[in-house]
Amino acid sequence: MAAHDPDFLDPIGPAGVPFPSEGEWLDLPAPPADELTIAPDFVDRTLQAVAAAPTAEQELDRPLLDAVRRRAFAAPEPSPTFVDDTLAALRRDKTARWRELLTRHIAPEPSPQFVARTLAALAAERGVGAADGDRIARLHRWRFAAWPLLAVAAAAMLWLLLSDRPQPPIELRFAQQEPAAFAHAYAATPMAAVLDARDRSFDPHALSAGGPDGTWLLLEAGR
Amino acid sequence: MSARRRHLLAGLLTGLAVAAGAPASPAQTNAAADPTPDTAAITAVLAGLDACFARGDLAAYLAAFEPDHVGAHALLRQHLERLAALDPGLVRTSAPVTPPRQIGPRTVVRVRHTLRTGDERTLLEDTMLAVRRDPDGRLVPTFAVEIPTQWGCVRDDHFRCPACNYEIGGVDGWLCVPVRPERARALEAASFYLLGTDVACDVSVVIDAAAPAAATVVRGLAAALAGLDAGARPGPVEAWLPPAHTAAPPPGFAGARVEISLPRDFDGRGGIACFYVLTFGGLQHVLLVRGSGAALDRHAADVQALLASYRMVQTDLDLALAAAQPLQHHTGGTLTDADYRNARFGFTFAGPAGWHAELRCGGAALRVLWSSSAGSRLWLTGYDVPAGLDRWCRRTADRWLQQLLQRADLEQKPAPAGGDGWTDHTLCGGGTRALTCVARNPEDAAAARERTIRVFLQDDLLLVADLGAANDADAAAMRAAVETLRRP
Repeated sequence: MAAHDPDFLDPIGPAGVPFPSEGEWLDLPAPPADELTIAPDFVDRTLQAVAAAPTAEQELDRPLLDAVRRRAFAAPEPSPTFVDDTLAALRRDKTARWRELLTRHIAPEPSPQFVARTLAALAAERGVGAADGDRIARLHRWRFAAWPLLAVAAAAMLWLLLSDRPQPPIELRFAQQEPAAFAHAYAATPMAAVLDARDRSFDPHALSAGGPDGTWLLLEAGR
Repeated sequence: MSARRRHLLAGLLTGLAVAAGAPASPAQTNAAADPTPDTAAITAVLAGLDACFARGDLAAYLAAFEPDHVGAHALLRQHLERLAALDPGLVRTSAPVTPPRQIGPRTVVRVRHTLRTGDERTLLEDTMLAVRRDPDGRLVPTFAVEIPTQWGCVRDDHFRCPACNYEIGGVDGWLCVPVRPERARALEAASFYLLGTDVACDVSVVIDAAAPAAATVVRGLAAALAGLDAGARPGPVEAWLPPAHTAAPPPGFAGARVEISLPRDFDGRGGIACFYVLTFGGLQHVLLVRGSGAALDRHAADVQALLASYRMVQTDLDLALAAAQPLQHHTGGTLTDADYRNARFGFTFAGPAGWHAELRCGGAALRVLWSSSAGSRLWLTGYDVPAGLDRWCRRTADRWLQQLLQRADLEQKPAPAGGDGWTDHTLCGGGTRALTCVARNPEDAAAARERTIRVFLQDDLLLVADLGAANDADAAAMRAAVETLRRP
């Protein structure tokens, strides 16, 4: 049975100090006998301390924030006109923004004189007859319907361009798709979400094989 | 003042605060002479960040960084915001626990953060922090990513797991960061970061008893990624073997790769995610190389050097053993016909006789599936004590169960009134409870079945048996199996 290679074990223990290897541990000299004596009441005191320590349930029963701190972080009362003012400001901003964007992409309408001169020049050049003159007149009338259509098309293109703007990094996008209670919702790699999706497709009805996030379980669930 | 200007100003002020708070150590005063900062200089940087944390000024905290890796930095932001929202009274002290070392253009140190809640509870978090020295000699943090507080398999940024039968890393410029299994959703995982760039490579170990072909696995991963990100554009699947095994691939060893374009990532400049999958029977080594397209082009040689460092430890292993060995090592579990024994947690469970039994993995401490020919399923899943807690208790177990049911779209049927539903388990000690659930939105006959969930709670393990029976005979066999759980 293969096991961890001892040379690859973490040299820093949970206490943040180097932990001796098994070989070093076995070679440590035995402490002097007088250091091993314990006070007569050591066991009793230890048991009392253990019994007096709060259990995990008791710790979770305590509120995370006391009343004073909750009051300190309470949101202030909004003014009576807050909602109306905010909505009006939003509307103004939105209107101004759209106007600014659209004006960049809609060409100014040509003057009637410009159109007339252009058509006359074309007609003179091609030597058009009466039938062609009628067709040009119809096109001239359609011109007024075409401009609004072009404006709508420009706006649609603009919307498509804007909606294609850069997005958050893939690591964050994927992490945010996962439920907050699960440890893999905080993975710094997109691989975790991909493996989760694949696992769920194998076993669509099973309970998740993903583990819980300790911080969520300890702090958020207790709120 | 706009948010952007406030952000810039906060960054400037924090930079000044960090620089001003640092003692005049030789490393900082003689920046040009000694490019590697000492522990005192890094401790001063950490003190500056802790001061931002204490003020609740996360904008200043984050602005102190000049991030190498936007994804890792975004996750750091998410984590800090979450901590601040959960408990604004959290107090944090940070200290380096390893000497600084130079990796490529960055100095790296392992940091332990001790967080104390308002009611004196303590959480420990470890991170790998990278810093660089700017032209004025000031230290600037560039990267911080979580690592477990205890891990094995890594030395000098070289990851080696004999049980999972592979090694990779120990290559110039690459930092190896082990990842907890529940975080990675895998049996074992690590991430390698090419410091000073946005290039990373994740490595995960997965076991699939069905032993699908490498190309099938790669196609499935690409489809799963594209399912999560509509903008992702997977390319064609190609055969691929790591350089160490190209000349003489071991029998049963196969590999494939697929490159996925992410055109809207990295501020629209485009990113790449490339899966490399190596299969050896049911054992899968999955590598994901990711980064901006430009950085991957620029550092192609570094990526190739990392891929070239991958090799199997043993090439003549029996394929069945190669898949069973990692599960036995990491979960402690073995199957003999339908009987499951777990040496790590010290319990036995006799599955229904004659059913197909299979060991699974995926982040939890253990997972076993028994299935009958009629379509009944019995899943046994064990959850380790979550990082940060010292043991399971009934309240934390209930909270987690609620999340599991919600994730599986299951609804608990009303239980008899009175009590919290838990009783003492006479044979194994600890507590036990039973839940009956139904699917909220059943899509097919299998989903519509009523499910019985038996929970066994001990300080160090939460064991959940999930019973989905296709007929009465199978239901009886599963109930009998659950009663065989023994933990001496």
